[in-house]
Order: sequence, then C-alpha cells, then structure tokens
Amino acid sequence: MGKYIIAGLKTEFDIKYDILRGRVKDYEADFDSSETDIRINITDEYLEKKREEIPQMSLAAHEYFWTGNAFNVRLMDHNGIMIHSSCVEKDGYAYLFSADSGTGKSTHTHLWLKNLPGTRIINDDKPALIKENDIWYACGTPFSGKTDENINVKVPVRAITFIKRGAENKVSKMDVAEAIKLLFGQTIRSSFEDRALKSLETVDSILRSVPVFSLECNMDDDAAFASYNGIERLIKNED
Amino acid sequence: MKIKDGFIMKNVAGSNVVLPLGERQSEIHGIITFNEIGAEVFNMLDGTNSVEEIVTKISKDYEVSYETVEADVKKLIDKMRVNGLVED
Repeated sequence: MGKYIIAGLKTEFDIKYDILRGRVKDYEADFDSSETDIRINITDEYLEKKREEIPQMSLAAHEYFWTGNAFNVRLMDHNGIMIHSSCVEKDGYAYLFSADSGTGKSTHTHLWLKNLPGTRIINDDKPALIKENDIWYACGTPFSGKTDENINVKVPVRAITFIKRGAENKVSKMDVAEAIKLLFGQTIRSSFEDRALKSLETVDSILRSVPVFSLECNMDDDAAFASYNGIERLIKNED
Repeated sequence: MKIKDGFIMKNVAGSNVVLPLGERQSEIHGIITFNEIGAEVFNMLDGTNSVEEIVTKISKDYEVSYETVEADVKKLIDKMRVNGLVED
C-alpha cells in the first residue's frame, strides 16, 4: 500500500487512478506499517457501486472522493475533524471560512489572496483540524474538493467564521449554541455511537479554545479587509 | 414512554447536544439541543420513569410547583414526539 502522512496521521491506501495519484504526491512518506494510524481499503466493487449511484463521476473521481471521505471519517477516531470550509493562512495563522456549498467560501478566501499580503490557501474545501498540546491546528490534506488547492502544512487555527452573503461587510461574534449547529452541519456525521461521541468531544474542545464568528460579506475586494480586520479586532477585544 | 434508540446526548461547550445515529439520521437531519431541564427529561425518559415521576423530581430539584413543571414537561414531551424522539 502507498504510505502518506496526512494531518500528522500515518495513512496507508492503494491507488489505481491518476486523480488521487497526482494529488497525494506532497504527502508521500515512509514509515513502518506497524505504526499505521489509518488504513483505507476502497475495493473495486465499492467503486463500481458508487459509480452506479453517481454515473456522472468517473471511477477515478470516485476513488479520490471516497478515499478522502474514508480519511475524514477515520480522522474522528484520532480526535480530529474535517470542517467543510476554505482555509487560508495569513502570517502563520489559519482562518477557516465555512458555509454551505455555493455561498462563496472559496471566493472569499481568494479575495484574501488577492488583497492581503502573507496569505496562502491551506485547503480550499476540507481542511482537517487536529489538536496537539492543547492547540488546534488546521492541516492541508490531499482532499480539497473540486480544486487541487492544498498544501501539506499544519498551522494554528486563529478563527472559524461562517459566511453569509450580504450587501455590506460585517463581522460579529457568534454564540456557542449557534456555532454548534453550524459546525455539525459542515462536517461528516458518523452513524456509529463511538465516533459520534468523539465528534461531540472534539467540537466541545474546539469551541473552548477557538473563537467563532459570523461574516456577512459581498464579493468586493473590501470584503477581505473588512473580514480580516473585523476578526482581528474582535479577537483582540476578547484578550 | 421512552426516547427511541439511536440518539446520544452530550454537553458541548454548555449546550446539551443530541445527535441521531444510523438510520435516525435520515429522520432527523440537524442536531437537537436542550437546556438543563430538557436534558434531564431526555435522560429520565429511558422507559423506567413515568411522566409523573419526572415532573415530581424536577419540581423538587428546582423548587417549582408541580403544576408549572407538569405543563412545561408535557409541552416538551409533545415537542419531542412531534420531532420523532419518543415512542410509547
């Protein structure tokens, strides 16, 4: 099996198609199989079955998608969580922007790239969050949705922000109960009790140390400045 | 009367969050949150307590009249029933 380190986890899986092969290159690693954290086995039968359900996607696209899905599910066993968001780094901190598909997460983070210095995309669609020494980090993973925008880095999380489209640009603090609802709407839900309980513990831990904001924004360049400055101002007011 | 199988509850950053498991996920899409008393009712609805017993305990614990608690608990259980959480 191919060996990769993704979000700090020693991961093994086989690859048959080019999409996945091309996208995991930066995550290749070498380790002893006895140390493997996550072993993913997507069979041909499974891919064929998924292909029948969604024939618009090629087998290669299915392999990429379902391997990523399996990784993000198993991430929960290791106290991590995938948050459906576009994650941008600025000056050594990760900022996650989450929302339903089509709201403009990626559009917003690309306004940061265009307008704010010291920025880069960590993962454009599905960053993995992991905790080390009581600090939450956002990690690039090879599984970044439609685009191939991800980098193999681990960066401390500054804030999680939920986006809503609006005429003006405005950041506000989000209350915890609302944040819980939105976070569970933007991650993978496990059917199994053990994993579901872990995901509750994980979200609890995140909400105790990472601030969550609500951003109303338009698609102008101003949105990037208003969002970054607004988030930083609210974080500094809290300290 | 009891909470159906396939739900777990845990306190997350001060909110009591209920997640559906397995097939319950196709019945309930989002999450459900309860305040402190709602969580207590959820926990006590395990098939061993009657509504009267639940009301008696809560009215004692919170020092609120039986009638007031009874009205609130019945309303809450009706809501749980509408949302598919409880079975007889």
